[in-house]
Amino acid sequence: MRRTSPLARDWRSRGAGSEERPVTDPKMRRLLSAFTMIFSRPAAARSLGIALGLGSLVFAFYVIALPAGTLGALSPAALQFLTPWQVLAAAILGYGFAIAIAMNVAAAGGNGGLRKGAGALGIGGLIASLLPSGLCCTPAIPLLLATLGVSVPTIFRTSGIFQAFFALHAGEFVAASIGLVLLSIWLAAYNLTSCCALAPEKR
Amino acid sequence: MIDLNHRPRVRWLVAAGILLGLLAWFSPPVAASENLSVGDSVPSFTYRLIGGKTLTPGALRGHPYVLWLMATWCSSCQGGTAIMARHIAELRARGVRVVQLEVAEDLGYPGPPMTAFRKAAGMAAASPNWYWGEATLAQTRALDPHAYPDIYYLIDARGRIVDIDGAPAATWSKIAGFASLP
Repeated sequence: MRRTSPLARDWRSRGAGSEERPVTDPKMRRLLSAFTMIFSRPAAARSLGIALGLGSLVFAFYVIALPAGTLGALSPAALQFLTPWQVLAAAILGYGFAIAIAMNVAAAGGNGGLRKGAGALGIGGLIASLLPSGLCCTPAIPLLLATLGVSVPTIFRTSGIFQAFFALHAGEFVAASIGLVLLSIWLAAYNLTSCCALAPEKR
Repeated sequence: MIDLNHRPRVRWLVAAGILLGLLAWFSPPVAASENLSVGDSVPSFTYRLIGGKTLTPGALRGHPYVLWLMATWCSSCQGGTAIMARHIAELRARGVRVVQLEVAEDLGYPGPPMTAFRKAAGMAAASPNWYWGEATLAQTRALDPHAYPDIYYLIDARGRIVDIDGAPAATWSKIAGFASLP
């Protein structure tokens, strides 16, 4: 039988909605339980490795990618335009995504299996945050319109509408990405705690 | 709970996003326009400057200059302007002028007025070698036939195009190299 953390056993024995220890919100308790489960033995080393290793890689990518729109290229030179908000967003996107992956990996070992939707949401969040810098001020949209057969006068009148949308709503795109990554963490936590809420004899 | 992997639309959207992103980042740099390419003479336009003045071809003749067409909502143009402001004194010392023009009607989406954009560049924007104006539709079509929101020409003292590119902040080494030409 797979070993589980003391907290996971505690969570199982109490069950959702237990009145022994009235923790305010069952959803929050579930999330906290998932965090404790992945960062306590036996999964702690693997989870920390994923959270720090993968998280740092994704974070490093995003501290360059988020200000890349201001530079006009995906290059380390974009760091000169980095703002404190972008550092915060990069940290949430990077380490949040890595934590969601760590939870999914932990859940994959249990009988709950891997919830693919959580991974898709996280990846979708990562991609959505790149759209403004990729589509605002590059030749992509005019080229795409030309490829679709749109006439030159129409391109002159309309390409700015699409590009300006990405340029002027870059903040909203990043906020939505953060929301998707946080949602992917919640889905992964739900999946992880669902799998471990089963009684040992049912495994 | 909804499993997104069983929804083809979501997968298509994700795939389309990845494709668009790759297209954006790997699309070829602005190498040449339909009408103008490196070695050609730049058209002799009279540019309308903010404040009501004009910039005639005669005023630019004999001087190397950067002719930059941009949209005021464009984020790489804001970054490029910040870098230009940082280096405008060096360009002036080397006799290089900068003509920064807002593309006609901001390519269909009205961004901030050029006066506000210029103001954001700070004190450096008042440098005498930095001209701020608005391109007419005819000028925009001639100089920016693909409707790129950020494109510049490096033009030598004889009025010939030395290079064409975009995003000055990312390609500053080209402008610096152009400015250091004898």
